[in-house]
Amino acid sequence: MKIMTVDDSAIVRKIIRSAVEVLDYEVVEAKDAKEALDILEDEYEDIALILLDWNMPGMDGFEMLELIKKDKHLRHIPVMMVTSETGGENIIKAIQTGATHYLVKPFTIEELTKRILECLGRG
Amino acid sequence: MDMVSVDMKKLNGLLNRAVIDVITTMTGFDVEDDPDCSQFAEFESVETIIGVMAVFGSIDAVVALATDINSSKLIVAYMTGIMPTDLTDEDVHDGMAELVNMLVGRVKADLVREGLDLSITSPFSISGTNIEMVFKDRENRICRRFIAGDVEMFLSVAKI
Amino acid sequence: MNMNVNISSKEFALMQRYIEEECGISIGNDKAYLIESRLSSMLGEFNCSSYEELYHLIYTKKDRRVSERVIDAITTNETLWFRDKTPWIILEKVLLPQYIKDLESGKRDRIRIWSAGCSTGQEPYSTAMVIHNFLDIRGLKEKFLPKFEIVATDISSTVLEVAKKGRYDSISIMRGMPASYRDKYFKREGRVWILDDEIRNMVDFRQFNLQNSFVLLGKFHIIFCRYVMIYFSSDLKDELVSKFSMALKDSGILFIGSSEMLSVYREYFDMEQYEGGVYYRKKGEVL
Repeated sequence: MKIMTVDDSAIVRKIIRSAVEVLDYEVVEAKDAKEALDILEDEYEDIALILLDWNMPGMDGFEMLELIKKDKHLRHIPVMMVTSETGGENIIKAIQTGATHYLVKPFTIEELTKRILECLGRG
Repeated sequence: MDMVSVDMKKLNGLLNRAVIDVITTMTGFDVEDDPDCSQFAEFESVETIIGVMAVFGSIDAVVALATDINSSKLIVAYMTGIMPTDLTDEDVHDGMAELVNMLVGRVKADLVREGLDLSITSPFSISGTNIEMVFKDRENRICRRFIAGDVEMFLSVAKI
Repeated sequence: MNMNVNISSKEFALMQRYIEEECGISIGNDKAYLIESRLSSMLGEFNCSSYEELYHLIYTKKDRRVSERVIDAITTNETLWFRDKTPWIILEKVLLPQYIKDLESGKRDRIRIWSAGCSTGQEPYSTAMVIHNFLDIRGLKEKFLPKFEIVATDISSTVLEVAKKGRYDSISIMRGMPASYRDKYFKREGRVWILDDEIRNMVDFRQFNLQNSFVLLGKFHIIFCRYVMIYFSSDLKDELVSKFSMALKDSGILFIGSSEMLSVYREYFDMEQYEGGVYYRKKGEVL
């Protein structure tokens, strides 16, 4: 199975890759929502989790979350928002739209790993 | 509302905590602030890299985190687990921009909780030698120096 | 201040009170953003549309499993290899030579070490590597390695799952791992570092809540509880210091984080120093 990271920061994608590879998952990277949705069209059956940045150029992460949760092929995939956008209102909005978790940057690699496992139901 | 009425002392405290939190969390470094420093970064003849972001709304300001190129490579290496020699220029620029993004996000959350209304731009980075940042309003400026071992960083916030 | 902010502050104050009363954890006002994000998955799980609703739900439930979930969610911290360095210098230079002497003379039959709040395993594995290396270079491994027992506990079964695997990313390895230990005890597969089975097998990982009784864990010669009590309220901290002293054998050693302070320890421990590092020795008969 694969875990997808959607983030316009290559550094954040690399950090996420490090954590995910330790858990023995393959990593799929996308730099924006458009690229992510293109990949999902072909590979949605292999994706176990999507880690989604909120602030991205073009479609933002929240809009992409809404699309995922409205799509019958994608909505079962757990989504964790990974963002520097803190504040309870955004969290409530994301969770009510169907996000499983909400991770605020900065995060330690331990916290990232733990949240990923929680999203995968292995907590 | 301008930066003065936000209470400079409080803003200074929030920024300090945010820089220490972000750098410590992302790199594992023990970061300390230098309370005696009020000067902006001076890296004469040394290549400098600066992560920059702007904030608009209750406060209009630019936030810049500057360090010399070797320190920035060390910072990004500890963020990613990639040896400094294996990092690309793009990695280093992206890493510095991302750090500013995280620290502004953190301070924004604190200020929004205080009732301020703020929007932020995307982060970006600039690099070069003998870069000088000149702000017209010298009153509404915060400059802080942070150290972690041999790594030296300067945070500058200026009202625009 | 706008309405939303007031509501958010009120919710946070409620959650803060719950966490202090039920979990013994003190959360400063500056950590509001952390609570919100770390408890975010519980909102969806318990079908709550606000933190106030979540607070009321978990408060009225008074369920130990729920409070453990909350502790687990909000106390994840970074653990570094050989963090602070001095505990391992003290182990190698002060404690191990004495323990080996005592094992040889039959004064002790085994040495038990507890890593309390071990997170993803860096602390107990650092301890295991120091012991293994100490015995190995002296040709004492076969004879004495089985005499050392390391118990590592954490409240989070999730982090224990990671710890047991002994697989680490390059970021974790870069932080604190000396090249000599890395080269001796890890092999690299791509960007993943895999810990030697012999070290992995030295550590017994168990899920454990420090608010529970320590009696069933048995008595230890050394307890590491570093950067764990920083989260706790002063009441829980004081209670733990007394419980740790009871879980130690006479003249047993307690290590806490180098930047941590114990306010109440003189009743149970003497503070000792070695090469700039501080450790606490249980009062009692010196063996």
